Amino acid sequence: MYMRMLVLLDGSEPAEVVFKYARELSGRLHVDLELLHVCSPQDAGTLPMRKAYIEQKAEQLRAEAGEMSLGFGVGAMGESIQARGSVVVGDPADEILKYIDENDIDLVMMSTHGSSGVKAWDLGEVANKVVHAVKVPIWLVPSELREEIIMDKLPQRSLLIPLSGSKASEAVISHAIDIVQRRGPQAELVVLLHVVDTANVAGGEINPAEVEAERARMQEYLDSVAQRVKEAGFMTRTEVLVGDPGRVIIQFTRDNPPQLLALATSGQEGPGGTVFDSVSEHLMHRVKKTPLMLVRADV
Amino acid sequence: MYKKMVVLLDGSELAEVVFDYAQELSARMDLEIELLHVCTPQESAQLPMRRAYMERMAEELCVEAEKIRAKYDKRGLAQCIQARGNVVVGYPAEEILKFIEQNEIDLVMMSTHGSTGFKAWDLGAVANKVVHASRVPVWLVPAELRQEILADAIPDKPLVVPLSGSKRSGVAIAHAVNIIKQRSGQGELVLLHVVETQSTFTRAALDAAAEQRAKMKEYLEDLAKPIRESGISVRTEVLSGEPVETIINYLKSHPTQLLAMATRGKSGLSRMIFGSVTESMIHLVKVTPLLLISGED
Repeated sequence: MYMRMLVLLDGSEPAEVVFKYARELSGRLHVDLELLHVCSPQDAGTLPMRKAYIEQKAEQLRAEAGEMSLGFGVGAMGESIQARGSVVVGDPADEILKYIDENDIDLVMMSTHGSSGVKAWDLGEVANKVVHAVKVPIWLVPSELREEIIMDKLPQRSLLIPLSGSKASEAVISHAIDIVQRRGPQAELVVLLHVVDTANVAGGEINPAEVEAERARMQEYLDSVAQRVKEAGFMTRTEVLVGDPGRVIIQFTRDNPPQLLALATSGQEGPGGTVFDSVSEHLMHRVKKTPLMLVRADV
Repeated sequence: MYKKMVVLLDGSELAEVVFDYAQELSARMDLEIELLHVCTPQESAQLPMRRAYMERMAEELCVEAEKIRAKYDKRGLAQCIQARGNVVVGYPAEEILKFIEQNEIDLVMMSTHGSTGFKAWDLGAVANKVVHASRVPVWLVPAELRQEILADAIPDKPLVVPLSGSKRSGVAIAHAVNIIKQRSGQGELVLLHVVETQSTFTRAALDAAAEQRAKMKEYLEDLAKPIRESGISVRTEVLSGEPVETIINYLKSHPTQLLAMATRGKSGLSRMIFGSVTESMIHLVKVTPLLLISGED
């Protein structure tokens, strides 16, 4: 159950997309928002401007998200959405992590790119650091986020959950279900997806019979997971595909745009922080139009 | 009549002082306000933040200026103060000058220093450039602006115009008079001249100084006469000493609402001298706003 979402705004165009999305979501999910702007020590001369910006955004959120939540019936009890703006001075990634710890934040939303500009196929530096160090789920917003997702106008509302087959990868399911439930009574489809990896086979030899056997085994596995999701009251669909997992998942999001791609990440401590498995890394860096929720399975 | 003032806000603490002052003045003088923020190309990635800041400031100015005006305006029926926020990308001094030309601006207000930090005895690089190239008067707001000025609490509300005796230095008088008129006649005009004292104290030198003082008193009185006749109270002061130091000391002992000066005085060699007086004043005046006129009107 999420209570407090931290939304990072750095003043850039991508942050405007994050803001708009957070505003829509806060109304639908009825979560309180903490808006945070981190100002580097070199930029501290313009602190009053930065404070005015965050305050303006917080006010706008309180006014608009409250209305929206009434519109959706979520806030019918008359509770209003709380939105607070803060500005801190320091190194962005460090300050973000400190803020999460000190303010009981249970969900983080940020843009994949920031004011340092969009470099094709590359996760922003700050987002990259935060993603690898943060313990709470993080909601990554790509700068080309589909307008239909922001406005909740996709013809089929769906939540895509790729599962690797490990117990750890199932960690994401309860988070995903919580979000779907909070969205209210509208029908939403939970899509469970597994990709039989034929791109990274040891020795490079692909045995069609083995692939077929793996497919059948995973189909059975997904069905068993789907059964649990159905019992919680949701429509589900299962898909077992074959190929290079990262690429297949991206192609799938293009053909069947989901509202959210929820992914469990299990990491290993590496020299530069946590290192995720290659599929998670691939998706983080290359998903361009779909929001991505990363849930740490190992914490 | 001044109609439209551009107010430069760079997002710093000092810009907040400028903002409060601009808010007061817009209400007292019925000025339309254009708030301007110039963002360098390197900073343009944060344009949305800069726009949000200016929008917020413009909204706040409209609301607050109306409250202030309700205090002053007995008619209570006048039209609302107009304030707009503008963000442009480019190099500050250039963009400011361009904005003045393109928007029929007749007053510029800015802080003596900006977000690049307060260097003692140094006018901000941007303010310096604008003061020297602007066609319209530049209202410079010092970092330590007196609270009494913001609160309009100085008795007599004096506007001081230091005069070197040249025609050029007199340009500032017309602007000071305009400001007093636009404030519905509030404020006393002080015309001030400093007779430079010599280091030799011979009888002859002292007599010459006395004669010079009498001559300058007469000169100031001649200037004061038509202004008094138009209904504005004018005081003339002839002081002796080193000009810059004397003016600074005068401002300390006589709290002043505004010090109005032409940035160039006499022609030729003495032009340099008056120029340097103005220049020194800009750097030394810490608590009094300055109105600098350099245009060739």
